[in-house]
Formats: sequence, C-alpha cells, structure tokens
Amino acid sequence: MIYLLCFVLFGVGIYGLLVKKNIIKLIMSMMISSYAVHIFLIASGFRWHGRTPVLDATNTMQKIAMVDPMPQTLVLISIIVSAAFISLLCVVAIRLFQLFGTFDITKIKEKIKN
Amino acid sequence: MIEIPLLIIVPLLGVFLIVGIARKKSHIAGIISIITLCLIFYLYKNLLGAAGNSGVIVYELGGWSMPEGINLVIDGLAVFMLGIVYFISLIALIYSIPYVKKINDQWKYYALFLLFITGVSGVVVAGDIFTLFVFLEIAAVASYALVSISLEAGALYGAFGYMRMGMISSVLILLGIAISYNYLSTLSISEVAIKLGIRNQAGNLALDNNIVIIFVSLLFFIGFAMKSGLVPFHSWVVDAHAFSFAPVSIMLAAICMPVLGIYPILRIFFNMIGVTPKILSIMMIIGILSMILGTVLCLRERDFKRIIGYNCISELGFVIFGIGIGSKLAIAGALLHIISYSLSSSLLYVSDGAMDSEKKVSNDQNLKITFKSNVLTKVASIIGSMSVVGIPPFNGFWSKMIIITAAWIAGYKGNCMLIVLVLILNAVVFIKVQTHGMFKSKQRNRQSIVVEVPFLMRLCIIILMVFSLFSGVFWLSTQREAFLDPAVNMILEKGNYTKAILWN
Repeated sequence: MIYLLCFVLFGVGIYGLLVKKNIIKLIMSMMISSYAVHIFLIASGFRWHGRTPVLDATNTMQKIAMVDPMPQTLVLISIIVSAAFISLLCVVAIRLFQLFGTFDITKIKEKIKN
Repeated sequence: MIEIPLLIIVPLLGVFLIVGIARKKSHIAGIISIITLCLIFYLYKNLLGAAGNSGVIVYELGGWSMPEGINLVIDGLAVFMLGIVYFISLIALIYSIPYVKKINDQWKYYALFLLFITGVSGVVVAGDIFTLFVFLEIAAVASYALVSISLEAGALYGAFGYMRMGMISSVLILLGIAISYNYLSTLSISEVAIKLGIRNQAGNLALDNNIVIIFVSLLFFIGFAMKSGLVPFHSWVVDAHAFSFAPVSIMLAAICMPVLGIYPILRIFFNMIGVTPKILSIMMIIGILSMILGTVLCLRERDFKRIIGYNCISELGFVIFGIGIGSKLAIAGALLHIISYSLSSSLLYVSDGAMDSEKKVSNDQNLKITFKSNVLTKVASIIGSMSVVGIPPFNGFWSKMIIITAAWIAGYKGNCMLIVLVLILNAVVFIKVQTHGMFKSKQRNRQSIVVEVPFLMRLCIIILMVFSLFSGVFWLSTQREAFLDPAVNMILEKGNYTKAILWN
C-alpha cells in the first residue's frame, strides 16, 4: 500500500519535472519526488510489531524483530541534503523573478535569447 | 592511513576558516584557499608513496570494522582521479584570484570552491554508495551555487537548468540506493560485489536475468549520466557553462562532469555490480550519440564558450565509448582521455577567460576584437583547439588514437569511421572559430577596454599549455606504470577491489 503511494508520488513528481513550466511548480515537483523516495526508504526499514533498534545485554534474542535503523539515518541525511538543495533553488527562483518579473521558464529563456 | 580522511577534513577546515576569518578582508580568502590546496597536495603526495606498495589503502572510520563501519578507500583509480582533481582545481584557484576581483563578496566564492573540493574528494575516496551519494550532493550543491554566483540573468537560468537535472539525477540515484539496500541489505561497494558474486556463482540468480539488478543498474546509469551530461541528458551542460565565470566553467568541465559522472559509473559498474555485455553496449551507444550530437550541435553556435560546452559533451562521449569497448587498451585510452580532455578544455576556458577579462563582456560578436590583443591567449587557444581536434604532438591525439586503435582491434570498424568523421567535424568547428577570431579581426563599433592580462592568469595559461603539449608523450612513456596501470587493473578485475578491502 505504502509502496503504491511512493510509486504514485514519484510518478507525479517526475511528470511535473518534465512537463510544468512554472518554476515554483518545478520546485514543488522536485520536492514531491524526493519525498517519495524518502517514504520508500522508511517503509523498507519497517517491521510489523518491531521494537526500537537498541541492543541491551539482557535480551539479545529479539534482534530479529527490530526495526531496521539504517534507512532512517539515510533518510535523515537525505532530508538535510534536499533542504539545502530546495533553499538554493528558492533563492535562484526569487532572483529570477526579480530580474524578469515572471516564473515561466520558457518566457525567461526567450528573454535571455533576446 | 590518516591521510585519507584528512583529504576531506582539510578543505572543510579551509571553508570554516574562510567563513570565520576572511569575511571582512576578502584578499585573505584567496591566500587561505591556496594554502589549503597546497596542504592537500602534500597529503596526496604521501598517499601516492603509500599506495604504490600495496595497491589499496583502507581507512575505517571511527575504528568500526567492515560489516558495520564506513570505509574510505584509496586505490589506483582513486589516486588517478584525485591527481586530476587537485591539479585542475589548483590551476583554477590560482586563475580565479585575479579573475574574481570584480565580484563583491570574494570569500563566498572561495568558500564554495573549497566546499566543492571537499565533496569531490569524498566522492573519490568513498567506500560505500551512500557516502558517495552524500559527498556527491555536497559537491553538486556547491557547484550549483558557484554557477549562479555571478547573479547575472543567464547564469541564474543556467544554474536553474543544472539544478533541475541534478535534482532528477540525485532522486534516481537515491532510489537506486534504496532498492539495492532493500535487496542486498548492505551499502558497501565491496560487500555488494561479494553478495552479487555469490548469487551469481550459485547460478539461481544470474546477473543478466535478475530484474532488480537490471533496474538498479539502469537507475544508477541514468543518474550518473545526467550528472556527466551525456547525450539524452545534455541539456543543462551548455547553459551552465556559457554564463558562469571562467574558473567555474573549468571546474564544471574538467572536474564536475568526469569525476561526479564518469568515476561513479566506473566504480559502480566495474567494481560493484559487475559489467555485462548489455551494459557495455549501452555505454558504447550513448558514447557514440554524445560524440556525434555534441559535435553537430557545435556547428551552429557562435559563442566560444557555448562551443566549448558542446565540445565537452562530445569529449565525454569519447570517454564513455572507450569504457564501453571494455578491453584493457580501451579503458587505458579512456582514462588517458579524461586527462587530456580536462587539460584541453581548461586551456580553452582559460584562454577565453583571459580574453573575457580584457573586454569585460562575453558576447559572441565581440570574439573578434579581443583575440587580437594578446599573443599568449591566441597561442593558448590554438593549442587547446589542436589538442581537442587531435593534432599529433598534443595530448588529445594520443588518447584518441588509443581509443580508435582499441575499437579497431575489438572489431568495431564502423564506429572507428564514425569517430574519424566526428574528429573531422571537430576540426571544421575549431578552424571556423580560429579563423573568425584570428584573421578577420575587423573592429566592431563597440569599444573594448584593453587591459594587460594579469600575471597569475598568464602563469596558468603557460602551465596548461606546457602540460597539454607534453603530457601525452610524458604519460605514455614515464608515468604509465605509476598511475595508469593500477587504475586500469583496479577497474578491470572486479575481485581485486573487494579482496583488498575485506581481507587486507
């Protein structure tokens, strides 16, 4: 179920990236597609009735039922990276809007050519 | 070996120093970054001696050994790549000291530059794919900011296109990492190689038919091909190159595209997943497409920087074509071509930047005025063009000759003809550029301000000229055993890398 959601989100994001012309919509589709991958990673580490991945000396037997901690760390790092990315994109978008007065990428391209 | 993490820590320290100290006094920032890079060169030299004996050096981060920990690895290929990266970035940094005087906050530029070097060193020494991805993103974010740092309209537009492609590629790479972690429950390159090898030997899951591995390798290939600007994904290259500063263009062309694009492809396909004939043939097809389209699109351009940008695509096409042939000679040629390509493209950008600093504008029509004013830039531009086209004494000739010979031996004779055709088209493009630039020097009505080229710029131009004149012969004769052979061995024998890391 969650994997289906990931797939749909990823499809929406890639569709938006390839088709849309508004810069803000482009940025939003980038965010959506990266969130899809994040959800996929988190879902891949999930176990039903899993316990927290902390090992203690007494019950090492329950190691099998642990939630996989690795994807969560990966997602944390990846979220930080994409935050840096998105903020830089927003700066560029704002600057482009100040210069051209439009968010439409094709109009910006025409204005640069002329 | 303590030097390996220091390769990442030292430039990062430089970034913090610049941000901390040099905000008020911008001229210190350049000095700090030069000192940092010299320190890295010293560390790199130590590593060179150490890697010569055993071949592979492994550093375990935090003392955690293999299954849990993260490894940093230096092998022949990494030494080779780091050599290119540090040499070219030192040249670009020296060059940018007189060049970036016209922007207000120089310290931002230098800090971003050192951050970029941090990311690239991390990509090269990373021992598992997620570390590689994180450093790739660090380098990529720094390069997006560097492209847009001049805050001109064109630069912002180019940076936006670059970021769009970069975001798609990083999402695809992350998806590939997620799926391969799901499937193999490990991230380390050597462990993945072992697991796939075991599955392969057991016979129940051959690489060719395993749908998950095919999907993952497609994701990785598309992602890294986007980063390196190969042909179906080349749209960002020219816009990002054309409007940015000359040292930034050097960095994009000579470091970013080969090291962030080609190097991970080599590492992942040859050391981690393992190549199959299908993957190799895909590489060859993409290489040929890049060569042809990059050169054909050159023909209609008038701006010199855009021409070099398209030419970069076609040169990387040569590299990936050489890798796709897959024989030992061809891979040696491809690696050699990375050197000669980075030297010649940076020489072209350096000479163009020297003209640019003379005239303060970079419009296509003004090409004619400014070629006239300095002999050195003229000669540099001619040497760069001849190296790109492949005229014998220059280094472009040797690498291209090796690739063509390897293709001929491997039996791809039609492709050899195509390569020669591409070279002829290249020659047409650059003859056009040089004749328009050199001999038809009519004065346009726009007055240009003629300034003497600064000393540091001239120094860079001379160093690059000397290297692109001699390095072909030099590399082939003297340094082959030290640099090229270990790299080729490390690529071609998948087991070597894994064995050296797991049972060192």
